[in-house]
Amino acid sequence: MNDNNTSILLAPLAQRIERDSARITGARKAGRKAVGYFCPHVPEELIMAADMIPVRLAQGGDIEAVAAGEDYLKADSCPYARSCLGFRKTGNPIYTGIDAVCVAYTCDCMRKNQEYWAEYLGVPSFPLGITQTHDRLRSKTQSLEYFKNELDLLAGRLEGLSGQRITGGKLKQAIELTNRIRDILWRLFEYPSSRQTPIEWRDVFRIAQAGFTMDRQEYLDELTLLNDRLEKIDRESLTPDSRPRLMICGSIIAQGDDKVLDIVEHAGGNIVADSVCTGSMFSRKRVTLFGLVGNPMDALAERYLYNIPCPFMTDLPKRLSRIVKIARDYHIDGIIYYSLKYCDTWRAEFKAVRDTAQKQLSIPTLLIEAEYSPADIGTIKTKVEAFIEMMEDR
Amino acid sequence: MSEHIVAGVDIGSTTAKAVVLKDGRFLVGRIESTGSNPALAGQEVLESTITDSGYDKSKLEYTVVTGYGRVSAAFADKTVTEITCHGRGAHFVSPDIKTVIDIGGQDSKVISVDETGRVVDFVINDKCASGTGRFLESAAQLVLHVPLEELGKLSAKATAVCKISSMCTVFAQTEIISLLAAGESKENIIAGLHASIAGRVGTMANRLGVKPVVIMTGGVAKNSGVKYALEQELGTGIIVPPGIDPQLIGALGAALIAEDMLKAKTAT
Repeated sequence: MNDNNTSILLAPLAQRIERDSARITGARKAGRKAVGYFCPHVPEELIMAADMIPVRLAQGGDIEAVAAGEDYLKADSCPYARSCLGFRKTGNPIYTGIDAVCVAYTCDCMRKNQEYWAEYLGVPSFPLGITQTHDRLRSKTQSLEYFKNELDLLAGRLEGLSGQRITGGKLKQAIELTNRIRDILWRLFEYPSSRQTPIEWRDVFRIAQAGFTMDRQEYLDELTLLNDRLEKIDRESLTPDSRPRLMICGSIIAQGDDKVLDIVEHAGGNIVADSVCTGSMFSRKRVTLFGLVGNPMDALAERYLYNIPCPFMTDLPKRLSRIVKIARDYHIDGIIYYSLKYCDTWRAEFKAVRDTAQKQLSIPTLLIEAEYSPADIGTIKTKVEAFIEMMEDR
Repeated sequence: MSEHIVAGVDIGSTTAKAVVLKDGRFLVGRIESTGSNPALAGQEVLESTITDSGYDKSKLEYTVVTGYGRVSAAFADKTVTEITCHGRGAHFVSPDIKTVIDIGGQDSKVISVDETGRVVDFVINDKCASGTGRFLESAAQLVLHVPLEELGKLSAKATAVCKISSMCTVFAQTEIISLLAAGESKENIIAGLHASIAGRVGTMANRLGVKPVVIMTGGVAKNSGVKYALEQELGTGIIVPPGIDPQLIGALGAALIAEDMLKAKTAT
């Protein structure tokens, strides 16, 4: 994918941050507000419907930000959670260029993040609670009611910040725009399921991340342009890729956290699929609006409660069956399980993923535990290279 | 091609090893200390091993380098990880083995291989020095003042096994000092150290699933006390490589892969 037309979507992170933060600053000077959010459970549609700019805060891989976050969270908490606070302190233009944050309660550290953004960083900070047993038959209804109430509270807080009412019409508009973005992203993530793909997973992943800070309409336009071009490529004419096919799953792979992905690429591995909250997990499934009478808030609640397969609030069977399905659909030879060091949520799930992959798919799983510092590059390289040697030998 | 030899070089954190093969048969191997320049140590051990083999340097057709120093070895025709090499080397010396436990100076690993010596799964300890040669070395030399080679023999004389609960190499030393102060015998403390390593490595091995036959490679395999403690921990017998220094298994595997590469190259 080397084309001038896709330069915005595939531009280096620093360049995109510069460009997007300039746009956001301009809009704020003109009176609009920007709202950052952590975790894919927060419906950006609500922020858009309140006439504000949604910004997904998902940067990482920066040891200075991690160190700055240590003032608030203990040194052995996950480096991503520490950076979430740290980036505001180190003056990251995206993290400093927002008027409020929405934080979903997706782990202990993120919960504290929500409170500390208000308490110590002095930024209005809105919580979003999520039930952990919503997939179980006898708590399904009550869970959905609870989550709807949480969304109503969040909507109210957003309205208070912007001074604009979130009307049904504006919300439907936002949902439609976001759905169109999701449809294309999902299509992009599907391409690498074939050995003859016009675009590699790594590029799709970059494109998905580029969307976090871009203007929604501009992002949709860029995605549409790109996909139209990809559709025109004769895939039969492409040389099939024979490298071992890998799936990456686990903790958040934040923008700027390229270490493990780079190591895999250099070792000759080919990641073709993911179950990562900054990748395909984020764009999965549209919000289903039921005709003209359906309540868009209900539709949002359905989508955001049941379709983000984070292990913190998803039952294990559902998590595992999803991973198995992806592995089958994408003809995966091995799973790379990425757990940020001290990230209990994902690390605790590893055993079950590994055992399931072995029993149901007869494929191996490699555990990589990493921080953002370069100190562990040597060991990770050895592990990844050995894993790929193992597969090439087959 | 006329007469030729191939070589495998394993540049570890503590020692650099080389093995020279001729027609797929082990000729000679050598172990030197790595020092502060891993690439140079690899180059030197390779050259002296070739001299030992009695062949001229010009007969060397292919070199595979493994171990953590592989990345800086410019003389390598190919680099392969130590996991693949240990699996291959161990299978060559004992074709029945299914599990390789390699305890080196800086890390320890457990490798599952199939009946052809191909790696099917592995785990590496990468948290810290606990469960590695370094853990033993620091305790033996800094606190107990016992040469490394004596540890196995001494632990066999233990009348009880001291409990050493610190995983951390530095804290373990503090713990040993307290044990010595309390009047514990060196022998019992050494047995405790061995049990501690066996516990660490045993947990890793059980995570992977231990299938017999189990072989131990790497420098720590020369310590009969650790081997015994691991056998107790895993509830299965463990063999050591017959007729070759266990520290050479990685380099041997690398040399075998060099032979394969050369064959593949000549075939095309």
